[in-house]
Amino acid sequence: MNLIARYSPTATKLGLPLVAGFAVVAVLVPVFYGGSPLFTWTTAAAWVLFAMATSVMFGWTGLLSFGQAAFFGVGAYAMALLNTHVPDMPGLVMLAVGAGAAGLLAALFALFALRTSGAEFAILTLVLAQVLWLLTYRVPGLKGEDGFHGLFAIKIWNEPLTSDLELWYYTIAVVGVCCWLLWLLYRSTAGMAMRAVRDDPWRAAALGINVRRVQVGAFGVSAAFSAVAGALVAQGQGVVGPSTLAFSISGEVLVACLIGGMSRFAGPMLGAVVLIWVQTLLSNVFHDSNVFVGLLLLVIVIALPKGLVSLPDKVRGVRRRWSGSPPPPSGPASAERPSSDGPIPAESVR
Amino acid sequence: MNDLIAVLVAGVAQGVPVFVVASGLTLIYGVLHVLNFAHGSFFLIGALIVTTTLQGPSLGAFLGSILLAGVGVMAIGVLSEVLVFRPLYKAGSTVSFLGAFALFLALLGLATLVWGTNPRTVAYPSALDGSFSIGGARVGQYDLALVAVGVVIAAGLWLLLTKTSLGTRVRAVSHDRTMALALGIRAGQVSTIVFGIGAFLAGVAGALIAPVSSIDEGLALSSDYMLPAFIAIIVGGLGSVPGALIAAIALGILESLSFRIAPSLSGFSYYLVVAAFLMFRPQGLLGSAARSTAMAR
Amino acid sequence: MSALVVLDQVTKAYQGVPAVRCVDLEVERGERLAIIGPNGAGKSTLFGMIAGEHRPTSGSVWFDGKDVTSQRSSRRATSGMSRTFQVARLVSTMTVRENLFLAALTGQRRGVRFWDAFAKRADVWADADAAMVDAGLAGDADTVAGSLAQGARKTLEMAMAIVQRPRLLLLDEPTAGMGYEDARTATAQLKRLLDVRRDMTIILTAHDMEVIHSVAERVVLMANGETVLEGTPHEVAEHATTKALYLGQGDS
Repeated sequence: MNLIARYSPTATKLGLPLVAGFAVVAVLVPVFYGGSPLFTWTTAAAWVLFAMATSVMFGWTGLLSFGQAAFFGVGAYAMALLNTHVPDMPGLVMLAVGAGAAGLLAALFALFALRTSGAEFAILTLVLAQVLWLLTYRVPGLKGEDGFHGLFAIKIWNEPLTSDLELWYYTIAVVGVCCWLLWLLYRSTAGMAMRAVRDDPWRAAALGINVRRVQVGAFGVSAAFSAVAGALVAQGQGVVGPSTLAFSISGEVLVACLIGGMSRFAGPMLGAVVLIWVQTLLSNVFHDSNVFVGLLLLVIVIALPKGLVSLPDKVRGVRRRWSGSPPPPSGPASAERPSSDGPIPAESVR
Repeated sequence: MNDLIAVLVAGVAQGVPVFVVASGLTLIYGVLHVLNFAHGSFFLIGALIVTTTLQGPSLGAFLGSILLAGVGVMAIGVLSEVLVFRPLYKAGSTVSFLGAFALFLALLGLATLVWGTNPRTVAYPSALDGSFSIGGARVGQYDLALVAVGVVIAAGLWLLLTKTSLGTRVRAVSHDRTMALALGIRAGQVSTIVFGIGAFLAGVAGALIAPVSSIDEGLALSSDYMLPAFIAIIVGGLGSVPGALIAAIALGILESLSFRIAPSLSGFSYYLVVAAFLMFRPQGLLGSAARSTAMAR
Repeated sequence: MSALVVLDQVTKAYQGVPAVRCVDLEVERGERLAIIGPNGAGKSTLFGMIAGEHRPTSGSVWFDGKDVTSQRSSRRATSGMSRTFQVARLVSTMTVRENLFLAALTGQRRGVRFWDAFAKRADVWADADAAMVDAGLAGDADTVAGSLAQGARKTLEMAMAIVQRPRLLLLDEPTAGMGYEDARTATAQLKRLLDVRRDMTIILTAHDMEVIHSVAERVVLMANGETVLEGTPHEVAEHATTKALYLGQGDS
């Protein structure tokens, strides 16, 4: 019985397929797309990272935030401010600074906000994003509605990016590296601890996992990578304004996570690509993204009332129906777990 | 001294709409355990209805508009409860929160489709447009009217919750839903009614601030009303209407004071208060302490 | 202080209503103690205070000579307490093997780290696999814990508690919710295990007299949040107070 060897195939563990996948996409997309569609792909790539970062908190750790825009925006504004005040700083350093700032802000926020549970935490995340949004109007250095321009001039290595193609390669490379880091996190014991905290905080604590520390850490990591995504989007568009902190952004990233499904590592990536493309293609129909995102989220939530939790069960149920094999003798045991989320058996929903 | 009276009245007047919104939010949370983010949209729609229905400067017309706003938003609220929250109730709080957030975005978007994005304004009713002096302090008539309205609504809610059979049922469901069901209380019906009341209050609050504020989509999460309302229900203790009342009025006065003393800090006093509360009393002013004892740590 | 666990005048009240009142208790190293009592006697609350899920309203909890009254439960777990729950709690989306891995990680006194994504951790996996084979769960190695049957859930939870290499093992109703056959098998397994690990101190709560008789050396009877009686399993079981309490409850 060689269980150990089976469980540590180094290739999957280090995420080589993931990196290879990014490399293939990076090469293939410019072959088929150019101009404005290529730019949509670039935006989608940044959103892939944003969705993955959100999934660290929401999907892996089970913390729901309605204020992810806060960290997305912090990344974008950090980029803009650094570009204004220290224009010679390399772009990658700016990314790192923004990520660090957002991570620290998030960890500090989480230290306070996690003293409450559930509902209050949800409110506080929303409030945080909205306060930052306000700050852009109140603090003169943040330039209010006008925002910042001229982010195209940011130097990567020593040169600014000059074409859509360069921007694409740059964005996909940064996103690929970040996703790879997140993959490592997912596979590490820290990542396992996050999932344990999500599944059952009491069990996690009894296993010796410091629940609060894991939650604060997950929040910080999630924020840091969200900030990188925000900075990438800002750099691509060349402008940063209060709209990067709008609550519709927080809603959109949740939609991306939910469309893709968070029970698989790569689910949110897929969701982000789908979201950005659908949004771009429908931009003539929906001028206001709130209606679009809101209705989409409503449909997802109502069609899958147990949300992510039910997704694997549902898929299994569908497959079972297709293959015609009998259902298992008893419902999933999660139905018997006395959780605060209502003791309704998963299978009883439709 | 004169200053103090003016500051107090302004603070309470600022707190009243916040209380009216917050009381609905906290009632709904108590009964349904749903955090209704969509309240922000309800609030905005209440104000927008006034911009459309208000005919002329008379006080009667204004009161009529307020009522229309309340009833209109109540209809939206009841529909939302039946169509969105009822199917989600059993799915747990995370899904309900997501549903509420989705509803918030969708209604906000729909409201801007209907009314457009240009800021609108409403004139004060002529009878309340002005100010007079109390002991030398200039006090706005509309501010005083708001204070009066606040007293009326607080008293009305108190009567409703403590003196009527509906109030008894609401308190029973909010205390222990399972037990209430066992006692034969139709919790579903109570939920719908409470959601309707909460939405009505949000619509009225939106209508009340229509003359005071510029009305655009920013109102849905405005730092003057909605964010303080969310903070008031945390500080007051989720589910507690008296807690929301105390917190909303206290925050209004605090904000009004800080505007007078340190204008640069105004708008941020709320957040300092909430941070302090999280440090020392995470369960809120009137929240129960039992909730916080058994936490996985 | 030589006792492993000391409860000193421990009280826990919920909104002013005491669930546990001024309990004094000492548990020696290597001792096997059962806490019994009718529903609502305060057993679970007392358990929660030892494990760290509840903080006492007053009084103090000592573990291994240290005051742990306000220590978080995860800290207590890493310093040598492990526990099972009345209704088994597992990491439901992970496989049986991964659940045991997390427990074995604590058993080796290692924390969770980001950078160990590169580490093999073969010794931890070996521990987990050994525990899995011991518990008879090898056939379910890659089954997601959330889809196990009730009996297997309890078995897995027990295996996790043991591979954590605790000095103090807390078992909350180890046979609750099991059918008769499963309960007998579980009791036999437990007994075999305890004979091997003489050094492990155990506190369990139980309704099932058979578990108590085969595992416990000393029994404490609780009623209305207070300890009312203690002695050997036989003494307590035969005592009039016990009979009155249990029969009284049966009548109502």
